Amino acid sequence: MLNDVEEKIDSSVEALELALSENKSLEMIKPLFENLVEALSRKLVLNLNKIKDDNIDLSEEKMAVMQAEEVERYKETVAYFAHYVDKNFNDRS
Amino acid sequence: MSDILKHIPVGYIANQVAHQMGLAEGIPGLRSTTTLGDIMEQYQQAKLSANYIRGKIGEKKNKVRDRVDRRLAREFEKNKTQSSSTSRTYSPTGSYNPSPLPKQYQGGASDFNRLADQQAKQSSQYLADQQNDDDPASFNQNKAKRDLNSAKKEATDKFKKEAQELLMKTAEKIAKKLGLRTVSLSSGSTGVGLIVTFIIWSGQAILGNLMGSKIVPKLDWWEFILWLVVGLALLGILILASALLVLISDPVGVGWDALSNWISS
Repeated sequence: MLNDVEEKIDSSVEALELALSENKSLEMIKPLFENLVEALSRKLVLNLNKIKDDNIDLSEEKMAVMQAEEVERYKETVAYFAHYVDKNFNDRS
Repeated sequence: MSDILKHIPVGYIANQVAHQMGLAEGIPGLRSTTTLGDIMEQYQQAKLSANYIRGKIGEKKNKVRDRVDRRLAREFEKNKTQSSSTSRTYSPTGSYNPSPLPKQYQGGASDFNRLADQQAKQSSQYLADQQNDDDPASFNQNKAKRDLNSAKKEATDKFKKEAQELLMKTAEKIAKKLGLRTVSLSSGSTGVGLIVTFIIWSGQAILGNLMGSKIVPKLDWWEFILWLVVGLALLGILILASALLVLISDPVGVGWDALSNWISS
């Protein structure tokens, strides 16, 4: 399951990079970015479930902290890709 | 960032995926209204905060470095005057501040050594740069290095001595307090010991807590309260006992009569 999701992320990133290298417009890039966000979200859900399963003995507070860290990592990744796309557009103009 | 990207509903997409995958409560801490613009803004702010903190740490480091510079420069000058050196004059900038290093750097001899090493290197470089063509270069350079090394050693030794003294003083203070507490608690286990404990506590409470003596250690808050309660109880017992004694001895012959009258009325 995780492998499938990671493959989807890789293919989404490749598609995004291809579109950027071909100087596609933002309207064309938006759905590709949304695909990437969706793939990353799938990975996030899998990771959150894994945290739950691997740490059954942990208290709810500690579990919440670990999950919040995972969500922060997800946001960071999304922000990184957004910055990447943004920078590419700025360099273009 | 362009508006098209800014409005991508990241939170909505993530929560939709979570529902599809059986995570009924959605993504914790990620609302459906969160957009890509919100996330970018959050990370911009985090970046700014990180830069601000980094800047503050840098300022603090510079202050310490300046202080060590001044101290070393002073030690260097002192050492140079003592040995009536003929080498070239080292010109430190700013006046020396004789106040000791801040507390957080006391006891950190390794930090001090590291900074002192840096300073020694910088000063050697400075001296090398300022070398006069007429002077015998190698002699002056070696002399300057020796001076700096001895200044560094002297400053480090002094610093270590100060730190040791401080440590000894603190240890003595703690030992004194612990010793007194042990004596009073161990003697408290016997009847006579209770009186001894009370006397010791009274001394500590009056001299330490009330008069603020620096020699006699203060009582902790619970000890002070206990001392007050026991003191009041003892006072009460003393008053009652003296009243009883007066009644028993009956010096004017009305004691028992008065008491029996009062009880029967």
